[in-house]
Amino acid sequence: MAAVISSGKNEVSGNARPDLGQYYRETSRGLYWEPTYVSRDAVYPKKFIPQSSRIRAKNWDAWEDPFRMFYREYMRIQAKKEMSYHSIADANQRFDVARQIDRRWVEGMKLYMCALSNTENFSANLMMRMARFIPSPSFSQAAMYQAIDELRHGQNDVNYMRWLNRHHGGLDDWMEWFQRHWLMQTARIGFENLFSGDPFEMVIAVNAVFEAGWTNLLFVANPAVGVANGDIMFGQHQLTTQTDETRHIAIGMTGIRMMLEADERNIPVVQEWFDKWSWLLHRIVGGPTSIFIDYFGKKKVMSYKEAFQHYYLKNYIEGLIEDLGPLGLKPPRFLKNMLTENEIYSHALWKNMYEGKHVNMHKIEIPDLAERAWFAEKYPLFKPLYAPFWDAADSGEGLDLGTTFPHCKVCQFPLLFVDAENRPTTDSQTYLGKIHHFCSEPCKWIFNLQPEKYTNLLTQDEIFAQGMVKPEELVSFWATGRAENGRLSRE
Amino acid sequence: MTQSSVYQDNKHHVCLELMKGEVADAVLEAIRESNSDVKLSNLPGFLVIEVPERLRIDAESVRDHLGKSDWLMTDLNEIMAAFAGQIETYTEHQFVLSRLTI
Repeated sequence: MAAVISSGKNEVSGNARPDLGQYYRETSRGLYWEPTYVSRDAVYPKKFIPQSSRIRAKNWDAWEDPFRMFYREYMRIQAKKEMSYHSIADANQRFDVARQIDRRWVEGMKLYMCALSNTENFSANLMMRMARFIPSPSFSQAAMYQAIDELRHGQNDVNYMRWLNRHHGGLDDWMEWFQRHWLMQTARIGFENLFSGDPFEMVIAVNAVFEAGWTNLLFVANPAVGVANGDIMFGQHQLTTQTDETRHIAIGMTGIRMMLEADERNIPVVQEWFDKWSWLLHRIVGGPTSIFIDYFGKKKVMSYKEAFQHYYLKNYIEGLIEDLGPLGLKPPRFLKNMLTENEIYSHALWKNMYEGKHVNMHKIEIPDLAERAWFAEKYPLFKPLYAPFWDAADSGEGLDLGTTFPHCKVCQFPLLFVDAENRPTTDSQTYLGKIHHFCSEPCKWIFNLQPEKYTNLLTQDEIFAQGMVKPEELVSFWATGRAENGRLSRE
Repeated sequence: MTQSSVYQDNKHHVCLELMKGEVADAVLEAIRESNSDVKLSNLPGFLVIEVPERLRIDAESVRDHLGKSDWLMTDLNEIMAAFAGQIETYTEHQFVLSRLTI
C-alpha cells in the first residue's frame, strides 16, 4: 500500500503530537465502503467514463496523497493562506499600489485575468468529475480539495479584477471576452475537450501535465515579472495559488505513476494522453505566458525561453518526468517542436496582436529600442524575422492585417508560426471530404487520434466565413465593451 | 542558447521555491542545518533553494529558527510555491524531497 508511494522509512516516531498519517488514512480510505445494494458499474457508469476500459485501474484503492491532506488540516492551512492573501490585498488597497503598476502590465491583465478566472472555474468542474468518477476513495477526497482550491483561485481572480478596475477600469466584460478573444479560444476549447473525455485523461492533462509542467511558468515566473512591473498584489495572488498547485502536482505525479505501474497495457494510453496534452498546454499556457514574460512586462526579469528552461525542462522534464522513464514513460513526443517554436513564440503572437490592435479589447504597444536589443540578445531569430516589422511600425506604417488568418482546427490558434527560414509550419488534411487546417504537425497528429472530436467544431475564421458574424461587425465582436479612458463604450 | 543568470539549474538537484518572508527564512536556515551544498537564488517574491539529490527539512529546526512552537510541518504548504523532485516523506516531523529511484 503506502510503500508504493512513500517508503515511510524516515518517519520519526514517539512524540505527543497525533499521528497525522494514521488520521489521514482513517478519514479517507477508512470511511469508504464497497457498494452492495447496487453494482460497481452502476456507481461508475460508462456514460461518464467513456474510455475507462483503456486504463486498467488496479491498485487505486491503495493510492495515497503525498501531502496526506484531511479536511480539518486542509481548512486550517487554506484559512491561513487566505488571511495572508487578504492582508496583502488590504495593504495594496490602503496605499493605492495600483497606481504604481506599469500601464502596459494593466493592459495585459485584461487578457490574463479573464482567461484565468474562467479556466479556474473550468478546472473546479473537472476536479469534481475526478472526485466523482475516479474509483479510489483517497483520490476522490484529494480531488475534492483540489476543486475547492480552484474555486478559491477563480474567486481571487475576480477580486483582483475588481480591485484593478477601481483604479484603471476596463476589466468589466471578462466573461464575454473569454468567449471572443482569439487567444483565449485555445483555453476554452482545450477545457471543453477535457470535459468530454475520460476522468483518467483529466488526471494526466490537468494534474500531471498542466499543473506539474506549466503552472510554475504561469504562477511563479510570471508573477516575478509582474512584481518587477509594480504589481505586488499579482505576485501574492499567483504565488498563493501556486502553493495549492504543489499539492496537485504531487497528486498528479503519484497518479501517473500508479497508472504506469498498474498494468503495462496502460503505458501507451498514458503516453498518448501525455503527448497530446503536453503539446496542447504548450498552446494554452505557453503561448499566453510567453507574451506576458517577454512583452506585457516592460521591465524584464527573464526571457520566456529562460523561464521555460528552468521550470519546464529542468524542474519538470529532468526533475519529474525522466525519473519515470524506468516505468516506460518517454519525454513529450513534441518537445523538440516546442523548443523550436519558443524561439519565435512571443514575437509571432505580439506581432499578430499589433496587426489586430484595433479589434483587441486591450492596447498593444510597439516595443521600444532597448526592448528590441534585449530580444535580439535572447532570441537569435528576432533580428531577421521580427525587427523589420517594428522598424516599419516606427516609420508610421499602419500594419493592420485587415483580415483574419485561418485557424487551427485543433488548438484554435491562427496559422501564424514559421520556422527559422520564415516558412509557415502549417499542415492540412482532408477528412470525410472536408479540408482542415492545422498550425503545425503536432496538432495534426492530435486531430488524427479522434477526428470526430474536432470536425464539428467551428474555428473563428469558419464562423466569419459562414456569415455568422459579418465583416462590419468584427470590431464589436472582438472588442466588445472595450474601455476607453477607463469607461466602457458600448453600442 | 542564452545561459540563464536568473536560475542556477544544476543537474540532479532537487529544488524548493518558497514565498519570501519570516517563515521562508526559518525554513531556509533549517535546510542549511540539515543539508550541505545548499544553493540559493533570490527572485521577486520568492526564494529558489537547490540541493543535490535529496533535501530534508526538520520541523523542530524550523520551529527553533522561527521562534514559534506551534508551527507544524504541514504549514510548509502555506509558502511552498514550487518544487522539483519527489516527495519521499511528509510527516509531522520531517519533509524529504528526493530524486525518484525506480
